[in-house]
Amino acid sequence: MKEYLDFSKGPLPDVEFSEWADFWEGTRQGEIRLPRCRDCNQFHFYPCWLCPFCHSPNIEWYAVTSQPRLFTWTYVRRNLSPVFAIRGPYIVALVEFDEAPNLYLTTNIIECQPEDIYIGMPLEAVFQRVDDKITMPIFRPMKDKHAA
Amino acid sequence: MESLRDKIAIVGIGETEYSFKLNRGARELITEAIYKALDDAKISPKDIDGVVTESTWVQQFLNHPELALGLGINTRYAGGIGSTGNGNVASFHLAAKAIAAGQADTVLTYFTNGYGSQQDIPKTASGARREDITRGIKDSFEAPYGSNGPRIYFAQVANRYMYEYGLTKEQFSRQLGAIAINNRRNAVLNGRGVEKEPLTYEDYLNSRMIADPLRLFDFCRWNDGACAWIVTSAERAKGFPHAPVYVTGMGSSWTPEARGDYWTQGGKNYLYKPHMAVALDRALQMAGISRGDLDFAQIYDAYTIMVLIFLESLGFCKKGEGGAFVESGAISLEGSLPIDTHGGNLSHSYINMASHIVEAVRQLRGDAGACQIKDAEYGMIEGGSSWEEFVTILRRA
Repeated sequence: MKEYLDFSKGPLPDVEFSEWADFWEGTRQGEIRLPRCRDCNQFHFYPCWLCPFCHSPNIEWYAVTSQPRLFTWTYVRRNLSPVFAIRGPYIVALVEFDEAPNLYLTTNIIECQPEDIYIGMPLEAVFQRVDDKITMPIFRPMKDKHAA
Repeated sequence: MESLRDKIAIVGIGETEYSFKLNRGARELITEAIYKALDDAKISPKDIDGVVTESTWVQQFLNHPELALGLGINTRYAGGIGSTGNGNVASFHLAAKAIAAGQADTVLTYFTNGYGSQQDIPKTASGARREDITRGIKDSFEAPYGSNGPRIYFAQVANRYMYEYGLTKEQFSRQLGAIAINNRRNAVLNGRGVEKEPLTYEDYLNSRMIADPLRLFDFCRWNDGACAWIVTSAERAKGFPHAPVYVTGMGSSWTPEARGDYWTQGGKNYLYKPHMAVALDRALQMAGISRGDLDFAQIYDAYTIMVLIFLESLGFCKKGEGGAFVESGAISLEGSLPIDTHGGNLSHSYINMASHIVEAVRQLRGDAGACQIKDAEYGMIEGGSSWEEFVTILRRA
């Protein structure tokens, strides 16, 4: 796959930590998995050891399939940290899924100019492999399925 | 249980010079602020028998046992509460309880954030600079994307705010600019802070974009400086050189929050934190006053957008109406609710509400110079946070 963003020079996630290893197992398989309660079926995020709604410990990581949309964003022109300054300007965003509203996934938006971005914009996930263990989910504007 | 209203009073304040480059370590700055507070109260370290600080930050520079060792304080009571800005505001809550319980008579609080020119903390094993370090979830779910701190979190908050309340970029810039200009004006009048030159709207608008839609002057800058203050029981406070400033109202409230959620989750409360008004209501109830009785409010203002969110969340105006409120001039020294009377984090100094507290005491002593609010009787200080809120209301003697 094409390298969209160079994650290798910045901090990388701990994808093996037991409380969220399933999330990163999902991204390796091309899925966004969010924690969902098996008892009351409600999603929550970030992960909590008990369901915040019914307080059940019976939680699974469930692959969301609904439309991701842009909840909010910023175009970072200058990051004070040298680790990120080398990337040049980039878009950071919070992305929301229709089936799990009010939960936000921090990510980057690619293939989009900051002038064209808007809140509510439909997006699609791109899974960028960093190494054997780490695959970072990032997003781009959803391509029109009916376009030629 | 008996109310803690007016049970303790502030009898000493101390602060260092504030500067972008003092080249002095955090411990040295804290020590200077403490000695100035002791001198202000005309007491010596042996008169202190309690230490209360916020619980997560300042002790990495100078912890309570080391403070006691260095200054020769025989500490009967030592405790920590809250985190950074909120913890500074909350220091009065813990000190009041300790004094009311007879665990201490005279309690010292100190703070610096150590973000200045000479950092006293060894680098991590990986050599990472401190501002790169976030913990746990933020490390794994945010930092890899270059979302590595509150500047970016609040730039996202600002874009969502503009969207939710249907503001144009021009309207939103005017609102945020009004806050930056107001706090700069106060700082110039105060004269002790880091910013000495007035700011015009053109200056604001022309400052470079850092993370859209926030510009350079939407953010405070890191600087050197430290503050300290001393409280004692209301009975003892009458024997000190300055008129006591009473701690007359205290309130706190919090919202359950996922680990790692600092302005990147929040669900339906992403832009509005209802627990903040609850904390203020509790403090007002203890003080026996209402919002309209407050002569000034020290609002956490590390970034301009925070002021809009906090004014609305504290119930000083309705959701989405913070901008009209600040543009009306209500927040100016002559307005109905002067805020950040010394210039705040934005233009006076970023010491996480500690310099706001020192300034609040000056206002209520009638010693605030060109920033003095006429007949100031009640002032509130709040800590600004995504999930916990502490409010303290002070009253002049």
